[in-house]
Amino acid sequence: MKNVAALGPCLAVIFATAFGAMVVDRYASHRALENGQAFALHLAAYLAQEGDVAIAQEGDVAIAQLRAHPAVQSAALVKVVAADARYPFLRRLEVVAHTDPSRVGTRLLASSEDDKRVADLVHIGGVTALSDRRFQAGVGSAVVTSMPITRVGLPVFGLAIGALAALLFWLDLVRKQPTSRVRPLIGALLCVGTLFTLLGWRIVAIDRLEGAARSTADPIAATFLLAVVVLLPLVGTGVLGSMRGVGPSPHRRAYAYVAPALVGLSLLVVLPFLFGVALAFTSEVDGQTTFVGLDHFIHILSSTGRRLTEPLSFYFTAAVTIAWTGINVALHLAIGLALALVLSDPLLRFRGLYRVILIVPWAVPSYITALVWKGMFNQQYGLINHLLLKFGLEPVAWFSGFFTAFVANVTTNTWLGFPFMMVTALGALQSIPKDLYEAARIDGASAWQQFRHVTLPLLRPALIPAVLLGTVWTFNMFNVIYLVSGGAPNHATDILVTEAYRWAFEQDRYGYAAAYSVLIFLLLLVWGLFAQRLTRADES
Amino acid sequence: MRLRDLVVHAGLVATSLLTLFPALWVVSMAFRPSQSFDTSLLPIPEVISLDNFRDLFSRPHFFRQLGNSLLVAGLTTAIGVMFSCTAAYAFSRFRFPGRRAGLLALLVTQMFPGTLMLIPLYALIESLGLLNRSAGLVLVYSTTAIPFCVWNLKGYFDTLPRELEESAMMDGAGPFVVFWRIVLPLSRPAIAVTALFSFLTAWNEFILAATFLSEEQAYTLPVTVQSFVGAFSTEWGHFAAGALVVSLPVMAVFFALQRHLVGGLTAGGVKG
Amino acid sequence: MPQLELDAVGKTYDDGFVAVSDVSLAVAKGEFIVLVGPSGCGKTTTLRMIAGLEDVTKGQLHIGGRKVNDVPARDRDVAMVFQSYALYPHMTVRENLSFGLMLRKLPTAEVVKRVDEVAATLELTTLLDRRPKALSGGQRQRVAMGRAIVKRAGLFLFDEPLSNLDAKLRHQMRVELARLHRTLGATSVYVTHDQVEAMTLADRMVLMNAGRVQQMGAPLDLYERPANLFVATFLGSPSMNLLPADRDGEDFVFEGLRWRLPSQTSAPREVVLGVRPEALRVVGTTPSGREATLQLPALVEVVEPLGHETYVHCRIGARPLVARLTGPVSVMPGESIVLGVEASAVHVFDRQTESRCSP
Repeated sequence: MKNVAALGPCLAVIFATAFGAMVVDRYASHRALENGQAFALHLAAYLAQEGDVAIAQEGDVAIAQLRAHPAVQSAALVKVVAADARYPFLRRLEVVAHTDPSRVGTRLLASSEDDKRVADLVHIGGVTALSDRRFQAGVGSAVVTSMPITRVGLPVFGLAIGALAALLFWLDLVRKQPTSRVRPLIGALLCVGTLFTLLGWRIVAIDRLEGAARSTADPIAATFLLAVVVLLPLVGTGVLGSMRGVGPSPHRRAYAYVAPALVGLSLLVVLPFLFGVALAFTSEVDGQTTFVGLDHFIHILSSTGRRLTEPLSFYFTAAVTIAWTGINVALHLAIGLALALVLSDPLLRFRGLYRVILIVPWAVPSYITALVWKGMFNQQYGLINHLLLKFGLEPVAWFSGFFTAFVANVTTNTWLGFPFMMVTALGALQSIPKDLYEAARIDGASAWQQFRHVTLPLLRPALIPAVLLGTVWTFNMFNVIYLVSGGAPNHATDILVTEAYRWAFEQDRYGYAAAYSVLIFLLLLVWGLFAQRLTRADES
Repeated sequence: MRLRDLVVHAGLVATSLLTLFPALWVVSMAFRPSQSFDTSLLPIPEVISLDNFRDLFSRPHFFRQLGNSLLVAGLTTAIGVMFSCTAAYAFSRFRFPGRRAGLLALLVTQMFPGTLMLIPLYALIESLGLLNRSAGLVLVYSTTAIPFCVWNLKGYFDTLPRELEESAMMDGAGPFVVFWRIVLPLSRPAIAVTALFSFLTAWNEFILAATFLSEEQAYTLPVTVQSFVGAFSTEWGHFAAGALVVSLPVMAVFFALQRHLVGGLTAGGVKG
Repeated sequence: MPQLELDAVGKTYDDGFVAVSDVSLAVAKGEFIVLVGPSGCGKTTTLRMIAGLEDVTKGQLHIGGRKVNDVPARDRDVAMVFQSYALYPHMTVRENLSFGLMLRKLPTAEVVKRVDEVAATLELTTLLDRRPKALSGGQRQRVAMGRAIVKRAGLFLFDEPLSNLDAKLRHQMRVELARLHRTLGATSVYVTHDQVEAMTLADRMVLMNAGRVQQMGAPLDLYERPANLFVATFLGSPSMNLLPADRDGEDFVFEGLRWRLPSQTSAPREVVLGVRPEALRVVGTTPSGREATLQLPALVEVVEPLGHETYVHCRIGARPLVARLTGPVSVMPGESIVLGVEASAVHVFDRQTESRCSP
């Protein structure tokens, strides 16, 4: 009962701080908007007269005008350009005119404090925003004024508090008998830190990404809610678990040991995941985010506008993905196992050398492998066609037919993936007692029967996790597909992940891509549950 | 018997050649003074030149990028392994409410499609002001590496006899001393392998890196190397030289640790 | 004041399994207590509770007069030798021995002195720089002992320390242990399932079964006056012969035989008679009329000559029976013999409660 009572002040602290944070945030964003908008209006009027083209020439005039304004410390005219054609949401700010003439033509560097403030104002002022496509490659302006509070500070501040609290909490848990006085305070700090982070992140990040869309906050609110639902019980369990009982409870220590990893995962894996899920229910048009419910899912699953067997339909891609995964894992397993069996013979000569050579593909970064193989499959200069010519065969246009492109992908991925299975199987083979084989031989088992009835059953426990992992990795193997065939011909060899990537970064339909990704996740999850049931049946 | 040996060796040699050829091609292209793809059948350059490497090293920021890569991969490994060790120890040794759920959750995170995570992660890293900073990548890499590390280490911890820890407790060691002086030293092979994997992942990753980093001086090497391969033309020579520079150190570590690889990776799986 | 005191101590696991239901025990300073019983009887759990490796869920535990239910293992002033020895594989013998002392922040000189002393006592001096992997089983065992001794703890705990040794070495170490105990005089609790170890080492023996203490006392007391059927059959090899019988006044009737035991008139109607194999001897081939001994006509099935003694397995009706006779015996399988036993050597147990009725 005493412990429950201790929750009272703890909750009070949380609510008070949360309320305080919200007030501060309101005020800060209000001020920032006001500042930004004043200059935005000023500049918009100017732009309206002169037009985009004139700006670069007339920049100095604009700057002079801005400088006359009493609140301005320094000012810049900024052009927003796409940083990388492949990642359209990455944009770069280039200075067209600046109060400091030497800065004209430079890029804004987020590492410079001054530039960061300019960049911040560009977003907040509403003149141009990163995801506001109307300004994707247009002209914007920015002014550095004294800002009431850097909005980036809020989540950083929150993280700092959280980290501090977590550290104290952790130290306290690991060390000694519980000191019940400090506990609730630390717990409260932790909650406050989490809240600050969430609040701050909600305000800054999502606003930025989605444009100034504070009014249509559905997905944001959803993320926030989900996050609170997930994170607070977590923190709460930690706090409660730590306060219960006085004796050396093993649970408390367990939580303390798990906590750092868990907190990291929650913030950087689970939270983004939830945000992504929330995004799947939204659509963005002209920088405006709207809640569209299950529209994307319905659209994808009903394959609207396409026949089911057309390359761009979800079902076609899913079938390709499953075939891709199945064929690859089977090949990895077969080749890996065969090599492991041969290499596990202690009498084999050059055993060590073979083993070293055969794990080379594992050590090479997968994107390099993929790019090299892409080159080898090239129709004009690729090595493989060259070989075919040498043997008097016709060169093949590998990437213009579905089947050949698929083969190219599978070849690459097989080369890349069999060493993992081989090493796993080698390790497992070493642990099989030799006398089992002797016993089998005395029982009159042939080599094949020994493999079938001794080796395979004993390898199973080690191979099943490896196959499970391998399946998930192959299912989501982005690099090979994207870099080797690139989906050619006409998206036919795309798997689900590359397709989702295209929706997000080639079509700029984040919501749709998110819905696509959620479906991928669900497919994998169903498969995972099924596989888990399989292994459990196997164990019992 | 001799015939069988012959067949086995023939098979192994063929497989080894297939395995080595693409790698040797990269080596050959790196030492050719040309940017086109090597179309000769044998991966031996006609003229050996170091032009590609000279070009590579004299690129602006190259050594800075190398440093970035080292820093990111190193820190990722240190942080990831540190957090994973404690978590894996708890999952292996303590029976606490939420243990099974936690282990399952770690597996489930492996199923999150990268495409779903990219945008939110970008937003998160941007909101923390960590775009174009190594710290941003370290943060993301080290947390995404945790699930695999935890599972791998847990498997190994499960095989350590409990009596050793109990004995240390009787010797007057607190839980932390037990963990630090007994469990960790005994788990060196598993930790080495786990560290190798987190290092590899961080060292080789390029999608997140290309997304988070837009300034050349902030690039990691994979982003640089990948930028040689364009949509319309590819600087194969530079690419190959870069690929060598990226791969060689990793391969060196890989082969140094390959003995541990076999034991460190499967200890958990086999013993169940 | 007892050095160790267990007051109605019990252990119930989270899943509801009761490992130890109720153990009370007081161990005086310098005493050597052996917990013995079949596997799963709760003896190891009891020891682990004393060590602090297992939470006590019921009752109170005192060491040196201090209640230690919630004191962690490292603060209990207890040393333990594990069944698997649990030597730290990554440390040398010297490091293994000094690990605990270092953790206690003893000055280095003192640590070195104590380690050298113990190493000399246990003849480990030449092995100090080796790792456990490079030691034989017996040497590892001695290091494990040394690690306990070097701490000079108030209480020594042994968890089946000899069970990983071969028979010869086990005997040798048993003697060494007894000698060590005499010189150190340390209070010890020793767990084993081997009754020979228990009988030879114990000052007092605690026989456990199914989480309960069955009987406690000097080894010979337990052997000579077992409190119930379990104790009677557990101790002694071959184990005690049991003959279910019905009392009829002063007579006990079984398998068509009638024994007169005048001192047992208070026994219930249904009893079990217990006769140790060594209490039996061959009195002839046909029953004689002599009154002094009780007689058992039996059919010999198997004879096991061991040299200094002989086990004769025979049958009375459908009931198997073993006699342990001194020296070689000229009895052949298939022969009918008559075994005799003194009335005073017959144990009487209540068939219902299984507890002893003879005084």
